[in-house]
Amino acid sequence: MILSRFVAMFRRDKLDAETDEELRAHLEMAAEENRRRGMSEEDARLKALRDFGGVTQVREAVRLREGLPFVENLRRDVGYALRQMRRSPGFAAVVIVTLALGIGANTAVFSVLNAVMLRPLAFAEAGRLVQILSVKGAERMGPSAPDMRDFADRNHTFDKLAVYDQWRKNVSTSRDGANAEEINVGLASADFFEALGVRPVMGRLFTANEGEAGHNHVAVISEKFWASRYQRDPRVLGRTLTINDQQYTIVGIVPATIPGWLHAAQTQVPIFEPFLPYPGIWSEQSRDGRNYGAIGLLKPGVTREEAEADLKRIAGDLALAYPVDHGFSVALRPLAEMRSGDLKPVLFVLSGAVGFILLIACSNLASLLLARNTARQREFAMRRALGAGRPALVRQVLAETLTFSLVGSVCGTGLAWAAVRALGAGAGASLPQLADLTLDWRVFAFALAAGLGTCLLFGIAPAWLSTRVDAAAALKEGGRNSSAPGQHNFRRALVTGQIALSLILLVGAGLLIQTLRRLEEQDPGFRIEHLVRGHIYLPPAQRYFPLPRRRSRQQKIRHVNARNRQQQRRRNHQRQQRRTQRAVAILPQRLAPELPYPVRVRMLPPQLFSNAIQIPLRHRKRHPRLQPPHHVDEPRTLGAIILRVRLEFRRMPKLHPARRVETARHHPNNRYCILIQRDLLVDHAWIAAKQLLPSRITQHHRLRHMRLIIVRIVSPPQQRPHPKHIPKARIRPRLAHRHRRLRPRNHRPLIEIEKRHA
Amino acid sequence: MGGDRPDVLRDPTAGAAGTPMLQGTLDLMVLKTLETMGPQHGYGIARRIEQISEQTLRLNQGTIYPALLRLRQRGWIRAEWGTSENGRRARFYSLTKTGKGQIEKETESWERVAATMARFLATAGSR
Repeated sequence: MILSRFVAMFRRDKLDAETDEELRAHLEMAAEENRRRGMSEEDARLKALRDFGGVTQVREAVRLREGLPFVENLRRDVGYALRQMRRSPGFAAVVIVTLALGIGANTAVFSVLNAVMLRPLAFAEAGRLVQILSVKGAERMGPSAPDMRDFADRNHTFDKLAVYDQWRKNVSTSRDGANAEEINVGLASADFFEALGVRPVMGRLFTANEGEAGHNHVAVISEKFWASRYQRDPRVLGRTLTINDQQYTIVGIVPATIPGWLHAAQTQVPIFEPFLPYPGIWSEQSRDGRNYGAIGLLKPGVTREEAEADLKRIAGDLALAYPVDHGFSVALRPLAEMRSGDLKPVLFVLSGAVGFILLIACSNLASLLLARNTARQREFAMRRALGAGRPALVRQVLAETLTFSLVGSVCGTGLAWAAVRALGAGAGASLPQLADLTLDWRVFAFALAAGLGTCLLFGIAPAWLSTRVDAAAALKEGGRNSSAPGQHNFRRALVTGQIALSLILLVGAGLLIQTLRRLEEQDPGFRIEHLVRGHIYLPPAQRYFPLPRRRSRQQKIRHVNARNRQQQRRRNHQRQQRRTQRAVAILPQRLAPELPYPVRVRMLPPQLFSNAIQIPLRHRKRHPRLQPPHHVDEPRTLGAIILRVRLEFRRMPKLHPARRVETARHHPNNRYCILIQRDLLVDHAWIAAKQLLPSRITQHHRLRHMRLIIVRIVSPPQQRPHPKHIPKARIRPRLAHRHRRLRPRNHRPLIEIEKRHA
Repeated sequence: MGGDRPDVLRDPTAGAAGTPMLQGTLDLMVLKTLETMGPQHGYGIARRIEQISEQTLRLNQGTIYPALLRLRQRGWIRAEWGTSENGRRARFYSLTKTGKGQIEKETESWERVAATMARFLATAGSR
């Protein structure tokens, strides 16, 4: 029945004509009968009319039942509102622009929220996916591979457990390694893909024995990589990729659905190899090599608490069995939280801020409307006099605000779309979750809801207040357009509210800007002007430079430096230092009682601190054997460990300078002195920006073939340094930057050099 | 432009004979009239109702039309354009199958109400 009434709205004219004809027929038949009874023509007609009752009323009653009066009235009101808008375009423009800005800002923030939190993960069984973390004290990090293997063997609650990683490697699509580029290569087993529910588009995934040394030279590429490099050539399977000078065979293609944030990367990982970062990854020595990625697929019906308890039990066993695992426990996090976790507080604050902005816009508009409607009192009075009820007037005013809101909503969505495009381009680089920011149905629904909500918010009160008309008084000639006291109070309240909200926003924004500025101007504890940093990724063969050769390279650098010292004042000058990451394990028994968290040790050439970075060292104990050119990685050399200390470290009384620490494993007889450098913000120079606590890496020294190079340029790099200063000959040609000579072309001596604060 | 008027028959001629009637009873009367007379136009139905009620119900004939529309929307009667006895074009209404069933249902409920009222009045009257 509703449907027929809905349809009837559009056939209004025809239906009206039919009703008219029917009623006319009735009246004529009645008049005829009256005439037959002997009445005169006129009397017959009048009696027929009297017997009938009110013709107009009947017609109205029929019309009301036929259509949908609510909708029809709305249509009429909206039409009227549109005509009003056209008549005063300035007012309309102001209202629409205000609304568009308010709704657009909210929609833009909501789309970010949508992409980061609301949109379901693009995996089958996403509800059962969790991230696995090793926890010690307040530190959370990825687990180590042997730990994950034990979890996988001993658990009852998981379908699949997978450990994975990603490294930047030199990749080339040709056999001879030409045109190598630096690509983020994922290391994952078949379990990883199966847990995520990713099936190969072509070919296959890795087999179990391809995770072992000697068999792991296979690769799986993503669909995007296949499209861009191989133009979707169906014969790509079996072709060779050269990764770090090794030949890998492509065995499969996976769809490009694995997001970059799983790998803490900005873009999706295009190439995967089997999970074998180095041959000893599954040995006991690697048990404290943590910070690998780890995900798990829960068994159906298993809750996260059960699984966490299960893994905690295993972790407890491991902690008892292996000293390196002492004190470590396990935490599970839903995979969706991995996507959104860090951004949640920021997003909430942002949502609140734009919500305030919308409120301010709404109250602005409410007072605007109120002001405007005082000028229309006579119009309202006229309608009341003609028989319109107050609800009808309210409906009319609300229809006007609804029209404004909808138009504003549409414009706001357009603005949001533009903002989202800009945001995606800029912020996608730093936040991988924002890489695919699109407007989907949720965002549009939100924009619509926002429009309706604002309409109600800023429309109801003015509608109610404006239509409080005393018809007689308003229609009198010379009636002033005065606003009732109710309106006055309301407007005062509006203005107060607006000022309050604006103040909140201004103060908040001011504080934020101040904080940012202070962060920028923070003193990192060392001289940063003219400091350039870069890194190169050496293929495996490079790593196995025997020590003397490495030393000779450093000698050559120093030689170069020495030679140029004379020209120091006239020419540009570069000094290079090299820092190698070298793993040294600290026997936990010694330090564990003092340190509640694991400790990372890096081996640094002393010149780094004295020359390149020029950090002032306190307690500088220049041990005689510490002088350059000694290398701290020589066995039985007394080296120094500089612990980067945060303020809390002071609370630990037992750690003080010249404390001896023992190391285990590779250099069991080394002893080290501790030089404590307080409040050091050295991390600004390194890539891992978050590690302000001393933390521990182990076992990475043979594998991380990344060399970080810190270059101090004494004078601004606009002037090109002499190419002879850079020992380019030491770098093998088949590196990714093969065609970039170490000449600073465009002031970029190496790949990925970033200028810092110069 | 006003709001929806309640569907209660109003007698604009105040003071004239005639009792207000609820819409449900008018519907039943219309249905019964159509059952007895067969297809009929609006005027015919209105006159018939006046006759049967022996002039005690002076309804405004126009009020029948909203009722007819209601019945039509519920699917109890259907409407067709035809020619009346004096050659006029008029809309004729006739019962549908559902309408017929509705008559039975309504008749039953009316008889139940009447019986209950009768019992009530009987007991109230007796001492």
